[in-house]
Amino acid sequence: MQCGQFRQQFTRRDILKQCANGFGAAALTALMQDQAFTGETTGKTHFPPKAKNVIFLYMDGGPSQVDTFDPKPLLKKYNGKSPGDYFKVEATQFDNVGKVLESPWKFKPYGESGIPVSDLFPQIGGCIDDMAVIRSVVSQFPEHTFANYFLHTGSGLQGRPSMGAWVNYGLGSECQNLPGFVVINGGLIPPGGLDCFNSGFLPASFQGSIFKPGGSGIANVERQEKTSQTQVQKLKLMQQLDRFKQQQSGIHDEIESAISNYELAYKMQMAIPDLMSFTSESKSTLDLYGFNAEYEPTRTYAAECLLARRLVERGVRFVELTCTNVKSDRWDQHSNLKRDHENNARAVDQPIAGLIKDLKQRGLLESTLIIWGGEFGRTPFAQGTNGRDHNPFGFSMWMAGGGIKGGMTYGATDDWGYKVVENRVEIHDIHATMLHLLGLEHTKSTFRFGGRDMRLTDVHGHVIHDVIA
Amino acid sequence: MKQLLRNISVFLLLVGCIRFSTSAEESNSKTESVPAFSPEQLEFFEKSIRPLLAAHCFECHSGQSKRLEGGLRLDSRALILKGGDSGPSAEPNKPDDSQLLQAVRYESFEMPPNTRLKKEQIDLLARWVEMGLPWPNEKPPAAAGATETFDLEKRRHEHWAWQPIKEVAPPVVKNKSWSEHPVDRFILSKLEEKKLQPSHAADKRTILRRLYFDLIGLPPTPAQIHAYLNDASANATEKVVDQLLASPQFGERWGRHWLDLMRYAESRGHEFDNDAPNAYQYRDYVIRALNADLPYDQFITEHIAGDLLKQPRIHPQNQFNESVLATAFWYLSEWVHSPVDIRKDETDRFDNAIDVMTKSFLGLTVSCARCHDHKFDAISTKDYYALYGYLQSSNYHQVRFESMVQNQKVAEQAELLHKLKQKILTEKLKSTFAVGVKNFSQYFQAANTIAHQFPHDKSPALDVEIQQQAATRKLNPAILKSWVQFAHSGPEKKDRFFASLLIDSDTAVSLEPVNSQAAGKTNSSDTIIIDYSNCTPENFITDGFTFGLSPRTRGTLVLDQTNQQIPLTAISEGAARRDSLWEDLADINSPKMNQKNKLRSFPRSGRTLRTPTFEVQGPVSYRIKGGCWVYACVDSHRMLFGPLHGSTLKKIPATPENQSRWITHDLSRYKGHRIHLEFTVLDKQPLEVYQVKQGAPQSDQPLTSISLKNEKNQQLAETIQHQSRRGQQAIQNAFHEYFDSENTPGSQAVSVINWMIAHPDLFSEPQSKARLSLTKEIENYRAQCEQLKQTIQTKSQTAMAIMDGSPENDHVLIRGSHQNVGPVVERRFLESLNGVSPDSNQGSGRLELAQAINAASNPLTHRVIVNRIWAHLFGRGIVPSVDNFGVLGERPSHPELLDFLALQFLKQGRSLKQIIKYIVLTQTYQQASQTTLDVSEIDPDNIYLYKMHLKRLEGEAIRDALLSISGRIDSKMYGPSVPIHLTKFMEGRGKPPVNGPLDGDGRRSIYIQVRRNFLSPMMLAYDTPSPFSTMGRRNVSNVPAQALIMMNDPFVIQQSQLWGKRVTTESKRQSTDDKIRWMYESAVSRLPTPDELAAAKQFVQELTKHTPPTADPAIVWAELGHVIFNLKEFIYVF
Repeated sequence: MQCGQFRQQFTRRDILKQCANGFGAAALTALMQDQAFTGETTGKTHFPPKAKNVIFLYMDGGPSQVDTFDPKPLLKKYNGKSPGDYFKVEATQFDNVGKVLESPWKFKPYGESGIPVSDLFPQIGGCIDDMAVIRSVVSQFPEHTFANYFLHTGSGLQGRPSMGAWVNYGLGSECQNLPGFVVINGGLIPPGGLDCFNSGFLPASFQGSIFKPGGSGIANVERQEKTSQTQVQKLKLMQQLDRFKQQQSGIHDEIESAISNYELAYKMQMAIPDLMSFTSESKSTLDLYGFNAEYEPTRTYAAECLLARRLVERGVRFVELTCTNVKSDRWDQHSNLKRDHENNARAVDQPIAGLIKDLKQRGLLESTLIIWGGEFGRTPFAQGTNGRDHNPFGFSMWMAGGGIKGGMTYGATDDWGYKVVENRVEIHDIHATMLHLLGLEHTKSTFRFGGRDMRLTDVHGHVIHDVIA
Repeated sequence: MKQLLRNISVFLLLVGCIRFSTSAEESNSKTESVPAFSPEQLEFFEKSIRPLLAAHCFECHSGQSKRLEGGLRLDSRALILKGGDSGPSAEPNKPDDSQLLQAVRYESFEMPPNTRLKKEQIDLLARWVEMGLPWPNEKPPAAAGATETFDLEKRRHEHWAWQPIKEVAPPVVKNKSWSEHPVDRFILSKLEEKKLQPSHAADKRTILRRLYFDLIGLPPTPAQIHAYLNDASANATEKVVDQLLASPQFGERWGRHWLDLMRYAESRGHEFDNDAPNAYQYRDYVIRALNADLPYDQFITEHIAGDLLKQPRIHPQNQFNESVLATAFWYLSEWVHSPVDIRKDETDRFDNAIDVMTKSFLGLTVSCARCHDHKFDAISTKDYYALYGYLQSSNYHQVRFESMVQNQKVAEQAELLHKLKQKILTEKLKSTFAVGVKNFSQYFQAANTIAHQFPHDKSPALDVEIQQQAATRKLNPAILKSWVQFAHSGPEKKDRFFASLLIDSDTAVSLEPVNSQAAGKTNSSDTIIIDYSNCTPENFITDGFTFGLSPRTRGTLVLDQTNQQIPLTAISEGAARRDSLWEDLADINSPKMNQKNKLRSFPRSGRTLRTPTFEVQGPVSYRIKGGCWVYACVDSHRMLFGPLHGSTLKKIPATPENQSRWITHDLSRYKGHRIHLEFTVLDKQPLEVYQVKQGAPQSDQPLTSISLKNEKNQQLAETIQHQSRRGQQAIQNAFHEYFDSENTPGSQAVSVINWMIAHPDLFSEPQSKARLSLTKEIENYRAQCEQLKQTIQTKSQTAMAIMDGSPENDHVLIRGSHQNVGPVVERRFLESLNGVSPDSNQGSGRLELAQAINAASNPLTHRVIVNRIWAHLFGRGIVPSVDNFGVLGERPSHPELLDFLALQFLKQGRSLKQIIKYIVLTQTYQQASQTTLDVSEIDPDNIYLYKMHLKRLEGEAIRDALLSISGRIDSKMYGPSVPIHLTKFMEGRGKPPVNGPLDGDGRRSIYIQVRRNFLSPMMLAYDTPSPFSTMGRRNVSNVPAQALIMMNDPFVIQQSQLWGKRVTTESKRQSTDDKIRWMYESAVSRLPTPDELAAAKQFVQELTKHTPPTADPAIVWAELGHVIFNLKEFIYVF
């Protein structure tokens, strides 16, 4: 590993030397080595952070900007007209360009700021004064997988570290018994697969751990022995035998790290049942998130959001939520825009609003950055008759908490909601801003790989200072 | 008003002046004359333009820019005109042609990137350019940080890796007793220099365990351990090494190392994780090649150009082509289905292939030069794009590797037979028809006279008359009878006959154009891409032998069962023609998982004809006869799914009348893209492909359809005498042209001959000697073809491979953007390694590329490979950055040793096994991994090897060890991979439809399927790389997921249970102590110490106490086994 650009350097050997006796000290070195599990953050940030944690609400498939946060009255006027008569239509994925399509939803102003939000998100609309809506995001890719990799890793190619891995690499985790980068799998792993959450060329310790919002939560965390007593007995013998070997072969750093991994693994095994048990939550909290909702996907997403809060409370650095299965498709409405955008919105509206409110009332919102968005937006004209195709030229994302200025919009698309005309925001800029809020200078957060100093923001990225409080 | 007029006139004058000056610039481009501008213009500039540029552009485009973007400065008029990477940014007086304006209008670049200029501002800029960019006469401001120039020679000169490998004698060392081995002397010399000393030799058990894992990736069994311990001979270790190097598991172990470099996977990733069909054939190739100890240069040659070898390597038992299988490496990357930006996708694929090739073979990061000359190494952007040409000149296909060798022979025999028979059949046909042709006018006249006399053909007197006439005119009565029947058959048939006869004679008959294309009457604006009637051997590019070994010229005689009497046809036009000899091909496919690709929906392998590559200008047309699939392969894209590129594939069934026709393929979407067409036969339908061209087709007149349209047709009914005289001449001309001329016959002559073949009784008697001989010969030919057909190996497995297309070069893409195209660069190897371009008429030139990589003088290739081997054996390379020998890579710790090993490798015939053996027999390798020496100050990272590095086993080795110890391992080699076991945490699109067994059927890890989007969680946790590019050095991380797997994963539990059973049944050990000893020895290759034995024994006794006496004792042993699997010693090699 060749970071050292922004992290204090302790070699394992330094620590070993400082501590007279091997074993305990070695466990500490392992902690030092695996920043994802550091007891305390040893890394210094580049400047004082505003946010400590990130929750990324990933809207897989690409929600339509003109139907959510970017109202365009012109679409109503020209509804049913051929878009090519008014502006240049770029190539689309499905090459089935229909007519200009007005939004099937109405927009209403919300909050003190009066920012309009469509009827898809009445509850999220209620939180608008905590949100900065960015209406001018662009992506470089109009296909899901490329765009997903790009959104997650800053590169359209497979095999690069996900932003959660970068954040943990940069900051370390504040949690001793949970991984620092958790992906809560609501049922839909995005195109591109688990590599959207991988550590790429960063060490495997930074890869996203996939949790389910119910059951045991994570793979291999349930003991296989009939009784915990047997397991403990076995682990004791293991420790004993490991120590005998140590007496024969002396201290090897690598072995000490591996030993401490078992301690951590065991702690995880013990901590996760508590994490996954929602019995301590009050009924009003559960209701706030939508646990009593009629619609099953809402209940699933509610569990995801609540689990996200519980992870953040425990110091997990980066939590990403994937979409729930609404039985038709994720936010990728090439047809049936009305029905399926409504289903997708219904699944997330209350849980997200609940999450924001809950974090706020617990005083966690100011240190938790929430990012909402998909890999691209959708065309303002129809695909076929009642769908919309992919549109990377201008779409909306929003951020809340964690040092974000609430109740504002930033950037603009043209009158059609098709292409950005003001304050263009690249995905790299979103990443740069996120790192900035976490106290990291994105140009200095590098990792040497394949002869290059790699960055989440590649060679791009500007912090969007206007959305920072 | 006056003022205005004056301004206008000044303006006009100025325009003239500027025009003049620009043309002067053109003629004398070096000297630049700045035109004189009026004070008003300069004022306009200062007031409106300079501030605008300063506010919106200078941050990135001026001497003050922290980082100059696009190489473009906008802070001086001269620099604006000079422009940046994309060329001049303004054209004086022509705002619409100026990049500057296009950029601010967001028509090309979108500048400024964050906020669009207001319309008024854009108008100001347009006005300014219109004026000729007025600017005061001032010097361009100096650049803040003068950019370093790229000096390839200097860089090559300065960096160690480019220097020739030096012959170095092993140094003299003080400690003479440690080792005589040259490698040890290099190591010891450095240690002595650093005041260090080597560690003691490791004990025999440790050495054996180390050798087993390093060489074959499995632990030694107790029996193997004892055999070694009991061998007191001096060369006991060498014997074990030889044995391990000779064992088939060697290839499986080292094959996996190689696959890490090749980003090996069996699916394409992306949205649906489509199959990479038959990728495992490449994996098997690697294992076999390593086991056979293929010399490394041959190994590389086969990777780069295994398809082009004159004498490919043949598998000794199964007789298939080995060499071609290696070329799959070019195509093991991710593939994207139907990308919107298809050319960008191509550049990404090429980039990956070049990245893998240069990192793996050369230890160079050439891909860093994609956007700009390499920041540190002696590699230019031109070098990078010069490599694109090799890929542009080649293409992916599934090769019928099993049948290639045999079928090549058959194809050659078929070609020989064809040539031989062509000659014989032509002669026999000629002699069959000669007399009839000679006497044509006689027969014709007589027959017509008779027919006129006897209008009812059933008249009994007719036969008598025919006999009489025949006798009188000395004609053959049977032929005459046929002619009379023909004369009776009606005017239409006769007219057609005459039409074909009289085309070129001076008859007043006019026919529709027969084949305007062939006659060279092409629309001059249309470019012919390929004309198979006139095509060089290089342009006849096929996958397999379905189209024979060459196109067929017009008039070629082919078997044709539709002609019942003489089952032959002369082909009407030069064509690439499907030979029915090959119609029974069948593919043996590996199991399908995900295959959302229309190109996989019909069999293509060995059945495809491809055109040279060309650039699409508009519609593309081709003329064919029969049925086929046509795929327009745009920018080498081959993952066709979804509607976007649906138009690239066309299915064209044969028409019932089987006429030739023009087909137009609408490829307008791809104007400016490079493509080639692939014609693939359809079922068993016949196919002839004549021509492919740009543009719309000519009128769609079938070749042989002849109709009489001229009103002067009447004249045909002139006297029979007249007709017959003319007919005689025409038919004789055709006959002569077809049979006696050296040249390819004209289409008229061919149609006459075909008419004769279709009406043979008019020219010969069925029982005549010549005729009988001809039919016998045809029958004989048919039989020989049939015989040949029996020797074809119709069934074959297929594998990914590369093949040559037409020779092509690519452009430099400025700043790596395919939308910003620079000059063409001829394909060649790296300039720093003296790369030269291949002869561009000779295919891709990959063979020469392989030679350049393999050249003994190449300073990189051999250093890189011996360093990789060293790194696998020691856990750290002499150059630790094994994939990067460039400036940003790490420096060699022992440069002389590296050179010594590289030369040793060359001397030993580039044998990987020999160099491995050479290294593992050193004292350095056989040192203990611990030492009492406290040297952490001098060499904390053990760079100088005063002890052996501890190595953690890779995920594959851990899993294989579990299987081996539990007894579950199945040593079966090769073949389709075992599907990955899916846990409930593995979800997403492209999820394999088949869930593999938990234990992978006991097969070694290298045989478990690698699906990009569904990688094994256990392998991921243990740092098996995600297959995206070359990964010569794996991470070695410590994560709790590893511990959780070993503690709780059902697979590990399952193997523990099997082991538990094995302890009670197979170990043949009776006492608890012996059982524990056996387990220890099996798992960690040593016996337990008394303490360890006591602790384990106590555990067993404790557990037994709490287990009901009726329970299987294996349960307890399984628990102990599970504990042992969780020992750190189990996953580390000391």
